[in-house]
Amino acid sequence: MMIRYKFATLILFIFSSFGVAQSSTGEAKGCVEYQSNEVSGRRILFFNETESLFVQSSTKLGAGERESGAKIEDGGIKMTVNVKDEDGNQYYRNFEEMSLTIRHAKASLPAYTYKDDWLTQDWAIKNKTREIGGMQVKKAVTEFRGNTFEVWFAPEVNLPYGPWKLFGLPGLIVEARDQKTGRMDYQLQSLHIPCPVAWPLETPTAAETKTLREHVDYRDNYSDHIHQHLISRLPPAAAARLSPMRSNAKSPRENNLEKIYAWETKEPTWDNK
Amino acid sequence: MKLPYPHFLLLLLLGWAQGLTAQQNQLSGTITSDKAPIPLASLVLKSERGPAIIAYAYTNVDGNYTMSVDTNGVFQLIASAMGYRADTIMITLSGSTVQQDFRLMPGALQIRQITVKADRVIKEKKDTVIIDAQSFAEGNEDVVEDLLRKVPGLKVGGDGSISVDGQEVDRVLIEGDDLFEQGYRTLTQNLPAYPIKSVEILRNYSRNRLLKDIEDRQRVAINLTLQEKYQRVWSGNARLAYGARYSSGNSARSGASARPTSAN
Repeated sequence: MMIRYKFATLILFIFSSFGVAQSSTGEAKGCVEYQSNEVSGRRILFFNETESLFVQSSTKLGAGERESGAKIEDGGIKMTVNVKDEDGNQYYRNFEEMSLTIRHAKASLPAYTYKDDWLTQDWAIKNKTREIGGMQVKKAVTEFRGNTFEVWFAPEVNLPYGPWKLFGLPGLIVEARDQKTGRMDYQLQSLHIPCPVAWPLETPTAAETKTLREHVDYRDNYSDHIHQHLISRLPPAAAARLSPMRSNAKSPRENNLEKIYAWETKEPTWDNK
Repeated sequence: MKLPYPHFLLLLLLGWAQGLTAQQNQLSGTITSDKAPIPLASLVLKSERGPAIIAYAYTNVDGNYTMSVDTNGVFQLIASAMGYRADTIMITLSGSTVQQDFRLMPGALQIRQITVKADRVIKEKKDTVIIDAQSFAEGNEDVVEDLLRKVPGLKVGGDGSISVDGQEVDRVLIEGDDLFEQGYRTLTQNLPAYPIKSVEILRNYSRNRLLKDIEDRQRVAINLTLQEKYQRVWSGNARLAYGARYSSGNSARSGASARPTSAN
């Protein structure tokens, strides 16, 4: 009787550890590397059965580190913004919890994380097919936050993951572009199962957290934040002469992939923001 | 003689109601393995033969899925999940609500390696980004400018000015030689694209090597390297194009696009 009991415990133990192993997070089963029009560093999408994590601008993934700060030249002030740090920009989706957490890398100002809403993307699958890396890929288009995204996905890799915040197709997204800014231009470089790059597949962290709305407000007023930051670092005499900067962009979100959020009716301009 | 009015009406009504729902098929079900639900299993509805995707869905945390299909007919329904063997069934939809469960068998995680290009097309050294130009060429580039337009990260303005990540390029060099100074458009708008081997973006460019780390302003320059077989030939042609700087674009172009054979 005792033996049986022990046996049962053993079986139970095996089962429970199996269960833990199955749902264990923190380990990537595979990864996709993309080329992009941002010239520096690698960008990699890590994934397992229920989580995906897209990382870019990380010095750990080879992004060059450039000095940030302000220099006075030709009577003007030139500032360089360092948009790279060790952990970089991260987009983490947990499909079990239906949560999306983004880490915004240090860009002169400290890094922070924010939780985004889980918005489904309605993809229109086109009949166009072409070949990438020996896979037949299909074209799909979606509207997301006031921008149009055009992607190619591989139905034979039946995972709903993609770069940046894109997801939800019946196949891995291997190429992605956006229409409004043209800044998004991801192209498959390699796909590996298992993944040769070690990276913890978990919710990204940073010293600061913001809400989605705080993040949007911060991005819209980024040049003001930088201005404040510079004033605090310059000698008082120079700081006094530093007039508020206006970026070259025509509107606060000219270069942003996201144009309109759920609580807005149109993209803000410099005047009405 | 009794007229079956009520029945007739009822039938009509039924038929009408069915007609309404005919376009909308509701598919739903659960995907499990050994009774445990599989989250994030994919369901793809394809036409009977052929790869066209009609509809798709993923299971939720409880392994449940729902799918709306607005066409009737015979379809393939494929259920698959990472680490399980895919299962395909044929299914007939005719304006109905269908419950279709799947039980998937564990399968080894499909190991695969896909590399689109063996070499990294974009390499980075300290201050320099080296881009393999021909991997971005699509064959329809006439002059260098057309090629640069296709290189990610580079922008060519309507006036021919080139910028890298928003910063305007100071110089365009050929094999390290600054032949055109700031009038690089003469070069980029006239030199044919085919001899170009790589495009190097020099981030911290200084015209005087000794000043490289002293100069305040960070200049960006582009250096074009040539494929070996064109290298020797080029110097002669470059002079031609340079000389044609002050003449019309057409003659500059014809000078620059002289074929290697004619220059030899």
